[in-house]
Amino acid sequence: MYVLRHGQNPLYQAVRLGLPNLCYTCGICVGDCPAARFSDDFNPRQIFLRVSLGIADGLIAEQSPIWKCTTCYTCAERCPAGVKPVEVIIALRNMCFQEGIVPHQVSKIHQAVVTKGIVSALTETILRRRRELGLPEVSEDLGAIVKSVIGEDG
Amino acid sequence: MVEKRYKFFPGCLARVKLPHIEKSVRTVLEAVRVELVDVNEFTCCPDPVVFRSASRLEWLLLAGHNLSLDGGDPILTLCPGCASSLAEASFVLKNEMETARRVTEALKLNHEFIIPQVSHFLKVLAGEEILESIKGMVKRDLSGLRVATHYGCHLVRPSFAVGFDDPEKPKSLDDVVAATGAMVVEYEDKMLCCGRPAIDEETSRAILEHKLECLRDASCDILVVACPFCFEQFDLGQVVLARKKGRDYNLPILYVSQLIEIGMGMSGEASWKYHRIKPHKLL
Ligand code: SF4
Ligand code: SF4
Repeated sequence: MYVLRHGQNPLYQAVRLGLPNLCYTCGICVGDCPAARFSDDFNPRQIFLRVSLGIADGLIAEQSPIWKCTTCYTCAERCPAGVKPVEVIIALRNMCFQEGIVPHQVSKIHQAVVTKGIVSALTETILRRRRELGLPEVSEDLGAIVKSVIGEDG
Repeated sequence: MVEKRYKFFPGCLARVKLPHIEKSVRTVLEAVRVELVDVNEFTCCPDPVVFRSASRLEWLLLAGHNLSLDGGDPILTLCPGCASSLAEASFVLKNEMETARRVTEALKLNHEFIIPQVSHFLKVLAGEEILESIKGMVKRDLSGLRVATHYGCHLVRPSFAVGFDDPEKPKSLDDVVAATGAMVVEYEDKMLCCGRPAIDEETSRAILEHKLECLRDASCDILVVACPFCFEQFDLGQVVLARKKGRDYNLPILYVSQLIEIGMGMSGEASWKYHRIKPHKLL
């Protein structure tokens, strides 16, 4: 089980940016959240209340509801207490990555950026289309650049 | 005449999947005399949804790399996701001393490197002077065309970092569409996300379906977007909805620059072959 303890646990530090402690559970962030409106088990308020209580069980998982968030930032804009539920969700996703438990399509895109420097490969068709349209070449070094940029810390 | 110089940040999706949109944006910016400089070493911004989900530090490092390239000219992006990711990373680098120190040291940058302004190209187009010059360049009568606009999320949010338009009731895209002479139509849940960035496919599709239902009720001829991800979600997404659920909305999607090209009488039609839903009404 994941327990996030204030001041001691680095995992708690990871979610400090979302300021979950200040939430007064008004529910404003839930009403206009697209993921909450159009799916069954997603509730931003519940997610970061669980985080501030120190229980992240079930949230650090491939099937975690956090993957339903669209990162639309509506919750962060509307919260009257200055809480940023989306930042908590992103921090939880960072924790999923640290643990190596992320949905397949997520690691696929992440790998593409790390190895090619862009979110997906350039196909022959697209390269031809770019030439026909007179667009600049896309550098072949982008993957190497990303590797050198995130190398030591990545 | 307005003349401005920007480093152009085309981003990933347009470069690797939708080059006709990149072409269209470049054409329109050239028409309104905005000078674009290409920077070969621009990598993924990094993407604010997946890459940022991986590691905060890696997100800041890659953003720091892109922000530090090629001098202090402001950056103009094609994709709102890039503008939002780079602007938010700039905000962090300007305000978190310790993080900024780590990032600049890892990138071997001067601690006081100048972080350029980052904006989405709509910010330039929606400026008063350029809006007027667009109006002056419109040749085709689009007054009978009913256009709905979709702003998407990252164009205006998070507002503390992006600092463009109003995060709840923006008007820039409507202003630009109106400048072409087309009629802007309102619809329910206009500011709702397109659903694309939800990793969970069912959630993503449910949001899209709802948006398309609202748009159908508004009986618009086309939907204009300013984000390549929204474009793909609405264009390709309709094909998926038709296949999976037998839903046929048949709503053509145009990138905002494509509508401007059409209004200016430029050959925007050539690129429609890359759209799943063809904008026949305009032909
Ligand atoms: S809007 Fe803010 S204060 Fe209200 S429930 Fe959501 S996070 Fe808490
Ligand atoms: S950012 Fe995520 S949690 Fe916040 S409103 Fe959007 S979908 Fe909901």
